[in-house]
Amino acid sequence: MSTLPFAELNAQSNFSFLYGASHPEEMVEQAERYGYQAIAITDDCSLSGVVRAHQAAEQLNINLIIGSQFTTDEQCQLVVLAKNLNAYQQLCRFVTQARKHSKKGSYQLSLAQFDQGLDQCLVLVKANKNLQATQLSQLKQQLKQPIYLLLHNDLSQPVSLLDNFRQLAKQQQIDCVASINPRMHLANRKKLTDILDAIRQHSTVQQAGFLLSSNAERRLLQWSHLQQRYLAEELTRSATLAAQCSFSLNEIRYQYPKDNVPKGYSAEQYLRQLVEAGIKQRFGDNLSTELRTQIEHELALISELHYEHYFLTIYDIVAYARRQKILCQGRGSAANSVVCYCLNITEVNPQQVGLLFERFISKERDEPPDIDVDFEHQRREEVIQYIYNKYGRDRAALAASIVTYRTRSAINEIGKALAIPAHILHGLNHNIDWRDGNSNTVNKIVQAGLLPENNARSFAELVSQLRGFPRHLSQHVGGFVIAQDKLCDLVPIENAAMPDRTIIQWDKDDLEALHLMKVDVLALGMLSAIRRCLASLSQREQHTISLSDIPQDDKATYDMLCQGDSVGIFQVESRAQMSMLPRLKPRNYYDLVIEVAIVRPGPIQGDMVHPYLRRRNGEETVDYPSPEVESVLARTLGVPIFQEQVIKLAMVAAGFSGGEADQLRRAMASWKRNGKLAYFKDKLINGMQARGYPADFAERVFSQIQGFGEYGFPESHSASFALLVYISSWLKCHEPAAFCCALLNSQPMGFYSPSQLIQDIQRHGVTILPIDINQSDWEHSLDYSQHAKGAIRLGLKQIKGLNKGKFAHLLANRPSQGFSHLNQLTQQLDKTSLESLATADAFACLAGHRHQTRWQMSGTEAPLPLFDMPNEAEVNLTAPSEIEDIKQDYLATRLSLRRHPMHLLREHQALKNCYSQTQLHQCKHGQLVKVAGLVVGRQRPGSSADVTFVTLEDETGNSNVIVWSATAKAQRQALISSRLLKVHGRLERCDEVIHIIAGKLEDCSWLLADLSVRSRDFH
Amino acid sequence: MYWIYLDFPQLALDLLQREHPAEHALAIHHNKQIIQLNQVAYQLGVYLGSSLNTAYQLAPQLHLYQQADLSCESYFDSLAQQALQYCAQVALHEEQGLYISGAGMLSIYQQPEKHLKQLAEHYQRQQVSFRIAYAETAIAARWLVRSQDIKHPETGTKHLPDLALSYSDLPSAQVTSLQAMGLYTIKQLSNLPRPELRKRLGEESLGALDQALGLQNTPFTFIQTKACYQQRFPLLSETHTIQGLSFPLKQACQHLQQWLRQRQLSSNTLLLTLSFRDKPSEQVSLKSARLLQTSQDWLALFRLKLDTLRLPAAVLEFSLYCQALYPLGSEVSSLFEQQQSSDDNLLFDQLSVRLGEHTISRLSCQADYRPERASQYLPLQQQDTLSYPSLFPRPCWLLPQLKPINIRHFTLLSPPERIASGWWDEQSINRDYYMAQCPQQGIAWIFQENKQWFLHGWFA
Repeated sequence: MSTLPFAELNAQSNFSFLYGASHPEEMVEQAERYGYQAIAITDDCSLSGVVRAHQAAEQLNINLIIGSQFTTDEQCQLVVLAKNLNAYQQLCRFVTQARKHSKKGSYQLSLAQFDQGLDQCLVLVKANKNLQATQLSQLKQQLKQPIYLLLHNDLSQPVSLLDNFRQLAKQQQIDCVASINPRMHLANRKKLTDILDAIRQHSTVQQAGFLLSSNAERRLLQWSHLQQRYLAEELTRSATLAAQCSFSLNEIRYQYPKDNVPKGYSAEQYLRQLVEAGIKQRFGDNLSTELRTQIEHELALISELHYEHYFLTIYDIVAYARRQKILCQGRGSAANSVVCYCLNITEVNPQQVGLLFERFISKERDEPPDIDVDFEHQRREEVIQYIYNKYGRDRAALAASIVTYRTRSAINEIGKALAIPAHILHGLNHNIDWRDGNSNTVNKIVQAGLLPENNARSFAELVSQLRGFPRHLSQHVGGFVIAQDKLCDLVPIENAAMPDRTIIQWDKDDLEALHLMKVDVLALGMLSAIRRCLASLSQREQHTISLSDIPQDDKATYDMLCQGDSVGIFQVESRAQMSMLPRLKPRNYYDLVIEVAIVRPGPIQGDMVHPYLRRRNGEETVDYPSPEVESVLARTLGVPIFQEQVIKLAMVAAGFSGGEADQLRRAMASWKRNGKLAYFKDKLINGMQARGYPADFAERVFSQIQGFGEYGFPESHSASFALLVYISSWLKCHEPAAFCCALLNSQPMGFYSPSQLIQDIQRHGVTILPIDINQSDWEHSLDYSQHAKGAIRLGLKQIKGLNKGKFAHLLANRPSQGFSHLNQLTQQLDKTSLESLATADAFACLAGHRHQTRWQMSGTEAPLPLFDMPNEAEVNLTAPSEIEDIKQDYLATRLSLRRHPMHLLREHQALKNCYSQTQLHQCKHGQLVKVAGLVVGRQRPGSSADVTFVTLEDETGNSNVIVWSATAKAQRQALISSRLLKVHGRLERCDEVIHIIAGKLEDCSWLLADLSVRSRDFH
Repeated sequence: MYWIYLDFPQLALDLLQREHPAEHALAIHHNKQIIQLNQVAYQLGVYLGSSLNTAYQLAPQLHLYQQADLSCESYFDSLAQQALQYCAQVALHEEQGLYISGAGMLSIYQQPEKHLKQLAEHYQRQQVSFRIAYAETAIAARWLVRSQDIKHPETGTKHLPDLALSYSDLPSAQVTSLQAMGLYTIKQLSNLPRPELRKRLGEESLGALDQALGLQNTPFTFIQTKACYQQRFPLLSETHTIQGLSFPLKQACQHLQQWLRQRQLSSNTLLLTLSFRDKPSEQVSLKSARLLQTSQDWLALFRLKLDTLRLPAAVLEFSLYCQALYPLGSEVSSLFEQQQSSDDNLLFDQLSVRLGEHTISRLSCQADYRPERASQYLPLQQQDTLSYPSLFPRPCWLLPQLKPINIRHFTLLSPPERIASGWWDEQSINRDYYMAQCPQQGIAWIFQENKQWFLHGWFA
């Protein structure tokens, strides 16, 4: 298409939150369709949408101009456009400055601030009703460069008004430029603009009245319309100005930080030196020729792609953590290389896994390297502060995470804007299964029958449009961007909601698209637990015990895992993993790599789990459709399990190019939000069929790709995680007390509550000692004095409402024989702490039962300086019953070491003939059984929409109940409301995994109420 | 001496039930937790305290309302007023409860149970859910009521000493603290030494306990019967003519003026009830655009109204009733608002009395771009502050019906004003409006929609 002499210089995308009604890429695509010479995306004090627009413009024949719109305190609106790289940097600094002193999401700017630092930029003033002649002359004086007046004509104001502005411009000797100032790319987004206006104004479309637009003219327009509305010179001037703006985001010259190379070295030399040192440490003098070749290959690839500084930056961060004794572990696409192993970034020995470097860094795919580093969750902040201190806040900031509308939030917001009653919105949100993403939104909403069909269709279309719209910027969980020079020359920086945190205006996809480095500094609870466990073992053994002291391939550890005994173990402690362990029977490290990856939505939705298990058990022949496929799938017996495998499969079996495979990978990550994956479906399935693969196999591979979605789990991550699985398993197997104690001290983390962890460890024969003011420390501790396996003494931190700071002095000065009288404590602690300790029965060693001590503590008063406190009359309260004790234990510490409530209720008539969890192991497959227990888990996973998994806890363990949807529907009340549930069902046993298939559900929560009554509580 | 406490724990729900068919499951929530639900919802498994998600899973067709959106204050006030029929002293509790004093009532009811029964029967007839109990003190009666389940009132505690502390008004943290000491009932608490108890409960909670136990008085502000003017005026001799009523009415208006002046009140409504010989009585309603007090004002309105009235029979007596009473000076307008002259008001009064108040409306702007909906008629009293944001001229005269035209007969005088709005109520428009000159030189307001041209109004 021939190019028109027009450029839109003031388009606002949906990154002008709750205002723009089109994605930036939609604006660019439509401008290209209309033949515009260029389009400027000018969101409100933001460059958040420009990378998406840039990607779209790169694919089309249209120039993108980077710019931003600002509203000053004087209500004057200005548009600033980047003419060249210098101008872009000025713009980034200007946005950063405007947002610097404002809270998250806002900015502040006065006209006076447009005085300097924008000399390379193009400044346009919008002709709005607040514009005054004095403002124009002030700007002209300040900027010392030509400014332009942007006229827009949306047929909602008379032409005479435009003529007035033209007259004003003439008086001020300023040229006028035509602009539609579009907020939507097509007129069919008018409804959405009205909805956005209503949401922004906290109103409804029915009531918003003149707060809405009077028509749909703020959209991109065809040439014929433009000609009718503007003077020819105003139109051509837009094109002339656009021609002055030659800047493209491709010009951004990001440079990795070079701080980590000592003087006298090149980055390449220094990296090699570190790697050589690492080789000595890791392999001694036994480096095989094969590994040497691999290292040389990796270093050559790193050098060719200029990634040395990236690896050195990660090395520096990890080295800092190691100096501070903060446990960390690298993972991600580049982490599982021999180079990273030698740099101590990861502990995964590449020899063990046989991972190929190219699998993770690919010249062909042209992706930036990706290394995530997990740190102990309780100490990650130290690492973050190290990065800020080392590079400064002007060179390091967190990546943004763009929070977008999901189906449910879109339903709620649109519903409110349309004044739809709350109960109907609730129905739409909760009666419809939205877990399969955005497919069939219209049908689902229409079929729900909650709205008249016409309204339902219109409503559903709005939901589909709003879904995926950005709402605000949040901070990425730990993705740092570090630059060699000032970061605000690359991208604007703004404040995050957290104090002292700053974020850039781009998210991880934007960074990836522009090849900017991101270092993920993530938090992992298990690393805290492992470090604590090793520290306590070192203390016991009187010498340092490190990860390298943990023997590999320990048979007892794998035996334990094969039994599904994995409470507290990293990654494999969920109910689904526990059921998989006895089936997969892991016997070595790579089995664990597969175990970690297989219980995920990807392989489950791709129906790859059972074929893999059958092949592993020798029940099915391992065959490959072609040698190419064999090269990809050989290590997983011909079944694709990992994310990399399906991407590689798309290349070898469906003919995807490297670039297409990369697009596929990105589309996978966000298909639920934007549905871009559909584009690849036909290509993949047709490509595979054309190369002779069965349609069924191709469909399954596509389902798997969908399943990976937002839970994509690549082999590189799995390999790193499997290492922690093994370490935590070994610790649980051989040092159960120390491991459990470390888990308890690292809470909150993992799947299980302290109560569940303690019950599990008690079943493993470890003694748990109660909280005692004379024995307990603040944290949980190990006691080897009377227990060879070690006993865990519960710490004071388990008591609700206590403040650690108040106890530091008390515990440091506790007499060696302990306190002998409560008075010693009442003088040092406040009343609230004393009451909490009494309720938790921590004074049992000093002053009898908890009723009495609580009474005493609640009467404590601060001593008066000159007077003795009068003695209190003696009050003798009755001692608590066992049930009262249990109840108070739970209230004070969320756990009890006394009998389980199910133990107390076991003899009740209502629970007669119910099997305990242990007894179920004696039952046969198919046997009808009754079980009862406290409901500790109800789960309806997305990958199994027809089933609800219920976990029942009794005094012997946890039973797993499967409730099929028909049963669930018929007995909804018992399923949803029960705290104590009795299930009549059929036992199913497979490879020592026991499930109860529920038939009848009985809500027995009243038994708990009955217990409460027996505890003399009357409510 | 005894006290009765009566509360209406689900008044909002009771009112909702009257608007819904009996088979509807209804619930009210506050902070996303169910706080009231009807029997249908209960049978579907919804329970008090459940989250909204749980409630919807249990009863997908649940009709759910937010407590803040429901108002039943005026209904509660009227229920409270009704209680005055059965006792002299009634005080309100903020949780829609009534303290009813039994002082002096034994002479009427002999036993508290009978008094309680009378009240219960009355409110049963009103078809509202309530709980009721009596005790020696007002606070004790309230606490006993709190122990009753609305569906099973008989399960409530009968005697204060046996009452669980959780039903008292002691702060819940304090109740939890006492339970941690093994103290569960009022009796256990009252047996403890007072100095030690004061130390642990504090003056306020101990005061509440003492009030419940009758050791301390509870101060109350009792409600009054709502003020209104109601006066009968028997005629010395019956009259068949309006003229015959003039003098008595003048005297009545003076009486009303005196009553209003004494109380510094004014009103804008008055009801005249005429009692006839051998005919049912008739009511004549007066409504003014302003608040009135003087007899002249009232009389002037009466004269206008009575001019058109025909008496069906001889009038024996009449009465005046005035309930909508406002403090004198309630009608204060902004300094800068355009004031209507008293002549205007008088005219409005006269017109509304003559033609009926519903016939007088005020034309005002409405926040809608669609010309058909850009104006509306508002009741005379309602103020209008809106102005139309468009700078395009608007014609003074809009046609009641759009008139299709042949555009060839018109000359366009302006560029278009495009209006595309109203998609949400199925009255969507998408029009280009123009000023145009018609063959007769008149300036018309015309528009094009779907390629068809229409005349919508005239400028001149």
